[in-house]
Amino acid sequence: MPDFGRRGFLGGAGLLAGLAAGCRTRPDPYTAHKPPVPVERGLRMGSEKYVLTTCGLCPAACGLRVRVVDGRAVKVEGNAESPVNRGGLCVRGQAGLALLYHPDRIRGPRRRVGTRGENRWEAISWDAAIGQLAAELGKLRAAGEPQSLVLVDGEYAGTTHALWGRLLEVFGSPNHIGHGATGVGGLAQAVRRMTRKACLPGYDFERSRCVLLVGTGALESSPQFIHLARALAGEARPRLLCASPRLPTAGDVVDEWLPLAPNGSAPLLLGLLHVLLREQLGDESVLEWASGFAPWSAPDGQAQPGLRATVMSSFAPERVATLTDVPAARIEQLARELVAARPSVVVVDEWMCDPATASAALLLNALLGSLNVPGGMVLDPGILPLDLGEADLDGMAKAGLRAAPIDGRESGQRDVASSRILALPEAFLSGKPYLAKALLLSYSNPAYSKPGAKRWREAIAKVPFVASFSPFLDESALFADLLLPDHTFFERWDLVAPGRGSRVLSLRQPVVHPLLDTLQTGEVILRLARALGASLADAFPWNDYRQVVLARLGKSEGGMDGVLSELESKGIWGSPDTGDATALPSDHAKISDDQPQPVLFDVRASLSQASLTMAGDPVRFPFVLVPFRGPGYAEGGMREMAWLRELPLDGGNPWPGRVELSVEDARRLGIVDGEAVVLESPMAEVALVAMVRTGVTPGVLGLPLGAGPEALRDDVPGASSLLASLVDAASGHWLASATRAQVRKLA
Amino acid sequence: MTISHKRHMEADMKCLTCHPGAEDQVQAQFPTVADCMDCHGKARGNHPDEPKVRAYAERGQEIPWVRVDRLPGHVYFSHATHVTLAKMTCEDCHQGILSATLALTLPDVHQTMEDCMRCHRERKASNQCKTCHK
Amino acid sequence: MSKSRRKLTTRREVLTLAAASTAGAALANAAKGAGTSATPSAAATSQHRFGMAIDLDRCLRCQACVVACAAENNVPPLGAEHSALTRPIHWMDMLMADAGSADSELGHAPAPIPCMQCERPECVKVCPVGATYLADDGVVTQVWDRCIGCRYCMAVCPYGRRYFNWTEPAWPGGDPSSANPDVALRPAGVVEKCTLCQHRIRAVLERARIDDEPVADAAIQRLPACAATCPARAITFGDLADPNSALSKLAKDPRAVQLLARLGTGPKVFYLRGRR
Repeated sequence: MPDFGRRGFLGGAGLLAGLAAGCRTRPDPYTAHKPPVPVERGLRMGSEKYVLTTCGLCPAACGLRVRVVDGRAVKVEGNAESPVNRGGLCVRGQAGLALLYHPDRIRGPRRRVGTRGENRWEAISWDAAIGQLAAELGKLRAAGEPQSLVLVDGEYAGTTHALWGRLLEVFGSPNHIGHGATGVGGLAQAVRRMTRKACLPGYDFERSRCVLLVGTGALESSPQFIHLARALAGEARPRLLCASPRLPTAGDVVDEWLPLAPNGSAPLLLGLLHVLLREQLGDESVLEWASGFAPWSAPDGQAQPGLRATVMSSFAPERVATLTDVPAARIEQLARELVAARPSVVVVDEWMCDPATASAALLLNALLGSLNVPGGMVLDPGILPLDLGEADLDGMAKAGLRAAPIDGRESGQRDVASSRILALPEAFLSGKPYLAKALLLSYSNPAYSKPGAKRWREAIAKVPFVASFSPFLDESALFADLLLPDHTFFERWDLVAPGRGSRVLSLRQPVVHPLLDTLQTGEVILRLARALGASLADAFPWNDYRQVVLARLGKSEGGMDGVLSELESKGIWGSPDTGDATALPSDHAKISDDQPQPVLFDVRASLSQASLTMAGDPVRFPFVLVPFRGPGYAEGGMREMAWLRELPLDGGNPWPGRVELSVEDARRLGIVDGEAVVLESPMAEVALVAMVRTGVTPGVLGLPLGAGPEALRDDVPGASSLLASLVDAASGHWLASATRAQVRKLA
Repeated sequence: MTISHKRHMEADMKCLTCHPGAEDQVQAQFPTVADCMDCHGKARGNHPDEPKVRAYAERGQEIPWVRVDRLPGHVYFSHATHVTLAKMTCEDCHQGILSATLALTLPDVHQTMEDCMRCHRERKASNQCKTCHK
Repeated sequence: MSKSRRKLTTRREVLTLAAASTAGAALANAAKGAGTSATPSAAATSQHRFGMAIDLDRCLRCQACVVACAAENNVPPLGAEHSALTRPIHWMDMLMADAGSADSELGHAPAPIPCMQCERPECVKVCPVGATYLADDGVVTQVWDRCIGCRYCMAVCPYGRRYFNWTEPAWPGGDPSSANPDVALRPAGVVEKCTLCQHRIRAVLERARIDDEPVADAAIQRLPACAATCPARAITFGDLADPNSALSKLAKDPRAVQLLARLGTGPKVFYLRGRR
């Protein structure tokens, strides 16, 4: 009997035996080597059904239709009813079932045995696990140090995020850390500061006439990919431009590529802004009330010139050309092109976008008259309110919340988008501002995926109590004392708001009965709060996770009848629209033609950008590493979805991964496409495979994030280990292209 | 737990009641415990196994039927085409099932590929490989 | 070394041309689907001629089609060892064409490439055991159990669209729970290729017969797994025997091009490009 728990590839030994005996005695492949199906009530043998749910591999939240035969999920398709993907599904979604049936899933709650990192665990019950977790967290409160609890939280869809926020609040810790600093934080902060809205933008590609992509996310794996693809599926398509240091293979759909110097996005956009302001081509009324556009005085009395003056004086096309490698004449022409082809829109890569670029893009879209209009950038917080109502805090919680956040952001900056995850390793190691005594990792594996991975391992090891909710034993969970594995998204119930301009709710429901003894993290939080007792328990009056979700919608179970029945039959519920809002052809967002554009409130901080210090001296490290999230990137889950590691365009080999190199640089260095090379940065040295291609500017090395060896191979670092953990001081956002490197032949 | 097809036929039951897919699905399918409870929710007859149905239902479990008629993985057989289009009866292939008094432990379908192809030839159904092979 | 990217080589083209010229008469017969005497002959009148169109001006090269096909047809990932030996199987692969070579009829960006479903398939002509044949619906179909693994078909396919199973089907950890029951598993030693999701075609045709309804073109344009998943709707499936089908219209589009059409294989996959 094959050992299901072993990693590695076990051949079909039973099949071989059957073949030797001849076709007639070939074992039935439908049951041989398959674990039995956990039979839920109502499962009819021999039946098949399609279950509507929502993908959890990236924040786009595409609608899924999963084919389930005899209780086993066998194929994932897109749900035609979802306005996000309209029946299509990306490469990651198609590979998703590998997660559900992965043999390396943690089979139930586990407590560490032996020393950390030994990878020895004992199985315990959920009551014991939650009891232990409550006891450890209770110790912090007993010692009067609730702020020493740190939560790293990587999932913002659904309601688990809101539950975590509430728990930390009534517990008394300001340390709810998200991954925004290496992802959407820059964009989220810019939107919030400038428009006062708490949302991420969407784009109405279908009705746009000219789209300028800054960065390549929309061509690769950002949530915008599925929206752009959907627009290409239609008859009318916008003119597509892309400004980036490298152009992926998807770039053939782009009408023009503007090769851009690394870190040139913000200057380019400000250069375009300069032309618009100078020629008075833009709609300046949106900036009428914006603090900081005209000259203003800082709190310390210092006179500030204001945004207009700064853009006019410092971002003329001639200067911008030196910062971006885009010729001044092209910048002039591009600005005019964007104006002439309205509705036009500037699209940022939400995952790699620093606050300055995000601000500049927002400003440019505002001046182009492209905010909240058909064909433009859509800012809409959507229909799912973010909070669960007021909670009563006890004195200990109030005191704890007054402590300085451990990641160095400003006190009182409680929104997770402002959190600074990259500050954590040093905070843990130095014990400043205070010691972290408990670390919870939910949907997070920073010891693998964050820049400075090695430092993360040392830092996590130093925290006295660590618990992970990951369904897989990953590099961070290896250092945990307690494992409380979550269901995969195929086994959970939830309501997800894809957001990004859309106003729908998407149903997530179990496609199969949970396979293992896992528990939805949202449920764990409820039980944990009850176990912690007193004011914490009172703040969580709901019986189960489903009740919380319905409460969030402001509805009781009965009041949800119409919504639930539509969700169950179509997988999607679109918020009923009132008035004369115009639905987009795709129902992506409901925008009224006479809806006034949002006014911009505050552009003061728009230009703040840390003087860019690069890691590594230019002589020893003549190249700049430009990381990207390729089509196979799935929030770090790529390694468990083995198909994504053998994609033909990515070299077809799981590891070593590839590094993209320009044709000119390859010729100069004598490197041939497909050759083994060594990539060295000030942080690490990794052997990779060279991929020589057009679409890479000289001096740039394209580095795919997420690529790495099989999990827990400590001796072979992943791509992230090469990247420096430098941040913009003002926002804490990661400087993605601030690592220099050199590449040489391996032989 | 056993089941007597003969007994159920004597009670005038139709095959489709328990095997709903036989007419228009690929698989004929099996009954769920809810199907059984439609009739056996209250005690019927005096077979010693009969209370087991209610016991499964009470525990919220499905009856774990053991499937004995299994085609090899490379063979495709659709009940829909044979029952609805070819107008075959269940006993044409499931020989003796209607008079079986115990649950099957051995297959009751004994057709070989030659038998299938002969019938296909006689009734002008396709004998192209892809008709039956996956 | 990453050698797994598919390329059309001029050497293969030469070999195929040579085979074509000496077997000219056989080509004419191939249209009728004749194989060895062991192969059931295809119906003389074709009811359907299924094919595919791929719009390269919409395709984002995201490779969703590659994985959708693998997931639907039980082609498991093979792991590091076999990948290094360029053994992974991609029924839907990505064709890499070098700039400036004879193969750049599709431009310089990669293109999804399934089986060409030739009207005059070379592979069918050379199979010694009738393990592959041209079915009456135009799909070049395979009988896995007959294949003896001689790989003659692989040698003769000018498009390189056939793959050899070097290993038994093996899922990571040995758990094939998510295997599709509608598609057989192929043992080691068998050659396999894209079937245009023949099992899905069969299900649709069967449903149509049972419900006594004709098959609507609109219902099958996204039938194979690759077409169904494409987020940009770049892949269209259809029946060339239906002059009103979307595919028939796309096949006549001025942007349409066939791969290596001059070889006379009659590929039923049409690429559309030329927006710029």
